[in-house]
Amino acid sequence: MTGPLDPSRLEAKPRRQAAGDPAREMGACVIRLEDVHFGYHLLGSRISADCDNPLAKSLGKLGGILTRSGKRRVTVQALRGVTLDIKRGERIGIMGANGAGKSTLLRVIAGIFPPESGRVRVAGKIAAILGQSHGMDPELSGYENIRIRALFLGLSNDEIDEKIHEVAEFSELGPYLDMPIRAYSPGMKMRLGFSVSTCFAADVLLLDEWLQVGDQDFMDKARQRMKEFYAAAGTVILVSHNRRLIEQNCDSIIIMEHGLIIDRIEVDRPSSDDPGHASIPFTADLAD
Amino acid sequence: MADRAWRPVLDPRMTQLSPAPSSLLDDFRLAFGRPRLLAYLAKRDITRQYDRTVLGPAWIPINVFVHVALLGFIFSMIFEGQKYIPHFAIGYAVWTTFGRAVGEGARLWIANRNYLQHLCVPLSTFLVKHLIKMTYVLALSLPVGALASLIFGLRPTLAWLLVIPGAVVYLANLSWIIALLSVLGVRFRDLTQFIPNLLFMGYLATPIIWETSRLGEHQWVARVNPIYHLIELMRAPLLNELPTALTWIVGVSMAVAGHAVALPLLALCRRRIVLWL
Repeated sequence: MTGPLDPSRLEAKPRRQAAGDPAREMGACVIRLEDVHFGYHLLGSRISADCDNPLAKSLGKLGGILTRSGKRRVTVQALRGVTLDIKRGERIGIMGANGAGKSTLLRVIAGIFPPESGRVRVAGKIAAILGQSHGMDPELSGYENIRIRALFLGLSNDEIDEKIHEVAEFSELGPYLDMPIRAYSPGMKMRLGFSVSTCFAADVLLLDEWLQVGDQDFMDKARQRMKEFYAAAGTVILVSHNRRLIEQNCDSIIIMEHGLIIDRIEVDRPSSDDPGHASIPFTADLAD
Repeated sequence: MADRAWRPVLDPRMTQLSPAPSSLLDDFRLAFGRPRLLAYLAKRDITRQYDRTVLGPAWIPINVFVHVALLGFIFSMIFEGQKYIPHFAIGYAVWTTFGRAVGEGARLWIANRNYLQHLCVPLSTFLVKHLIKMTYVLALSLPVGALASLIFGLRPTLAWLLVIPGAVVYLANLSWIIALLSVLGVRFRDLTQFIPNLLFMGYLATPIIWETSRLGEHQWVARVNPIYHLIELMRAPLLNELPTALTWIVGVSMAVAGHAVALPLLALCRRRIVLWL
């Protein structure tokens, strides 16, 4: 079984053995976060004058903690000291209220946002689906976007032609791939985004609420691809508000609140369903 | 299946260790390690601006030609001389690339936010892409100026060859200007409001539409203007003149000093750029 995402398809190349090689230091962990802080500094935003101590205001579970420095500088404390070890092949679900820091955490892991303090280490290649645009240019066609992604990854021209064919087949978008993706429906964009993001070999897959807009046929294909990825012991981090989806796809659930991990729950599973094994059904269904 | 030995570190170019890329140097190394990506992004960036036009990138020289033909016709009644139209045409051809480099450079990260916010990619990819694009625009604009020289009876001499080192120095200056303005433009949004005005003033204040000789005893007005020297690097050769030593010195030292400011600033801010989008 060698699905497109299969980590073993990544070519191992000799690497300079630096002192304190991060990969060796990390042992069996693919992802290690140590006391990671991250805040969004909103330049030029105001919060109402009576909100001098926003911590005291009851936000309920919603959002990150707000602080402010100076008159016009508000900081959303999105991550306030997150420590997390994720081992290879683990499948983690992240849940929490809106604004709890789930998506920010994925972006920090993906290397898009730099942590303000603390350390983020990832040993392996990340494929991520982090938002509606999927890192594609809406003015360019589907084919062009696939080509650009492949070029970013340094593929040869032959490999690119092969990947373009593969993505075209998997996404089933046919003639739409010649059109600029701004003409796509949200579901079609998701098809392309998922196909592109998962057709290149990766060790870690980050998924942020990716299941919402796909139709039934495509969901079945996506599940099959995820199964292949699980079988090859790929690591998955899935953010969702759908508890059933997470329970069926993850070994443990991380609960976040106000930028902190407040709980980590192991998912109970009948012993026959050996975690990390290909036999785990990927049957989450938003339709029912 | 599941018992494959884990090979922890894979192709280092594909492996993301935070902060990734680890330094600005690393960032440039990664960007230049993908020459086909740079070429494709630059090519697509040029053509996408003309995607639904009939004439496509031919608009670049056509716009220069129309501007020079119409305004040159009127202004040649005020400013006389055989070299007036070629002077104006070459000056405007260079200016048009300068204006685009500055205007689009200040919006560089904003224009590429789709990539920056969703993928962990080297920033310098987009800087290099923009510079390639400007080289292309220059290569399409400057021939209009050279054509004007020929039409107005200038016989090319060996001086024309100096246009090549001139262009290299000019592009080296665009390189740091793009890097500097891209960072300032994303952090201080007021800048993007002010730049069109600044460019218009620069166009009128620099000897493009009028010749330096018109300044009479006030030649210093041109000499203190760095843009004048950047234009002269290519205009003088195409008018069969030699750029002055001052022009070469200003051009080269600005390129060096500019990078000495822009690159450390970029290194300092590069991880924060995505947060300022």
